Amino acid sequence: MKNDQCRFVEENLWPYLDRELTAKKVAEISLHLKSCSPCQKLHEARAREAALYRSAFLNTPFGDGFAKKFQKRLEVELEKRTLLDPSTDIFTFHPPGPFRRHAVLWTASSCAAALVVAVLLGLVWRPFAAQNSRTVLENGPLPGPIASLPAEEQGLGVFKDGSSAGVVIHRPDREIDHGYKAIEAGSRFTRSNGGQELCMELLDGTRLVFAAGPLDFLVSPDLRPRGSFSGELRRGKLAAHVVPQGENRTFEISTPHARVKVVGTRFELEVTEVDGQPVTRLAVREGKVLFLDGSGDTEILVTPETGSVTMPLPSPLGPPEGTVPSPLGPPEGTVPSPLGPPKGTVPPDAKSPAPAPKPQPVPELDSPVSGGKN
Amino acid sequence: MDKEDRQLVQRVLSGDIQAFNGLVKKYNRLAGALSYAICGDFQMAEDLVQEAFLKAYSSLRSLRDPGKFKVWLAGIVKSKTIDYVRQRKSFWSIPPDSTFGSAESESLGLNSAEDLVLKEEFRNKILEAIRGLPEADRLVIALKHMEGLSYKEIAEITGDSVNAIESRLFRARATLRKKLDHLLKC
Repeated sequence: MKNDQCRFVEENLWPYLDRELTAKKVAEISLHLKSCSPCQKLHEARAREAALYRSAFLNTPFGDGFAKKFQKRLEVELEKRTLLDPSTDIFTFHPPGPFRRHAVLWTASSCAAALVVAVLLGLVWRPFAAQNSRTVLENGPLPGPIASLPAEEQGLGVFKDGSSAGVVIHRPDREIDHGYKAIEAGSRFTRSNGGQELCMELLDGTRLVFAAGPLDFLVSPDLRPRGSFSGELRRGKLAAHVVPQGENRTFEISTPHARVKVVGTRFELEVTEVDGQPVTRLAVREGKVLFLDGSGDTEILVTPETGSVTMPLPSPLGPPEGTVPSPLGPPEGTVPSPLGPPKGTVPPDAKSPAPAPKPQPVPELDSPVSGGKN
Repeated sequence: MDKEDRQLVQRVLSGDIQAFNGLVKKYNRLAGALSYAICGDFQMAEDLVQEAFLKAYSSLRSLRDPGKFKVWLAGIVKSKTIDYVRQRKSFWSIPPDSTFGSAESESLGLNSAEDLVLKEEFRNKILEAIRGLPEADRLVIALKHMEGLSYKEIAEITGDSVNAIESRLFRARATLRKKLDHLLKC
């Protein structure tokens, strides 16, 4: 039969096991447990239950192993300068003594004032438009929040132009920010070639160089920090240097007309128009790339020897052979050979006949990506 | 307020990276419990907690009271994980948790391969039952049994009262007991 003492123990058993009771109550319960067999059994059952829950959390990736792994990651991020070192405070304004109490207000007003000045000076970064060849985009998250922007939409980097400095703000209404939130944290954006190109470097070292001019590039929002990369080039031109991908990791870029699946390679991809027809043009510099049309019915294994290939495949009644344009060269209004491939240019596993593009010299990835129509 | 945290934060701000590692060592399990409770996947929680620590590192200067690093970090972890889950939910449901290497299996007192499989099955069933709890209940269970926090510490992180935490834990454990009745009798 349960008495008041047993009820008291039953009600307080979990706090007793969780060590949340006062010493007096602990002593009281311990004493009762020694003399009451049903309560003892209940105590043992609850203790077993607690041990079972604890055991479920024993084998997790957290603990000392995590700390070591993270330390390495932090060193890498700092070396790549994808993080702002909090000890180097380049933006915080330190107000004079009497104003220190209002430091937050001062910082916010300083940021707002800096932004206004930057706008007035025409220094606010305009994505992908080569407005100012002296602009250098540097890495690193902002040292502090920007008034009126939610945390998720804060800037991605800091830019400097001579002695002036400003912030890069990626908003959904700006082009690349369609996918910004999904881009791996720590992905690095830089300007190169005198501000003509935008370079995006992912954490695994993969580099995408976007040519100056109109661009619409979307990073798939289902990108997991450790998962595969999936992007969509809707407009514009990019050159990619994809590092070898792990077994479970894929790298894929789609366009309105085609898809490119990569294992580890260097290639150039462009969404453009040829004779008024929208096409996607691919040229591979190194490795192999699987080039698929939008439906996936046609796929071509493209290698450096294949030259540039366009998708959709040109009509059999198109221009004569030998007028394949360079993927990144000046637009000539030419299209790849429609008369079928010369021997060996289309792999045997191609699902449908592919054109025989002539090998074209492909510019170096580090060279300016310029001159194409968008 | 934690005096040790305050000192560590101040050391980081003066350029000592190792001091940040001290904070990571101290709080990664807590951050992991929090993230796991929300996303239900240890592997994903590991990635998200890494991102959260990176974020904490680079925005450390914005932490007004260094003594409140724990609560501040918890906020970042929650926000990162919730963002991920929201984004993920619109595409597909959260994947079931993947199991990890058996590096710590010995600590479970396993003797044979059969034991190992049995223990792993047990573990998966418990984790599955925990994943079935409402988020607030998962949170208290993870913080209590993974990190061993006191009611007061849990309350500090969740923003609830100590009494509310005690009741929630009681209720969550009762639900788990019902779900795992067959295991508990083994």
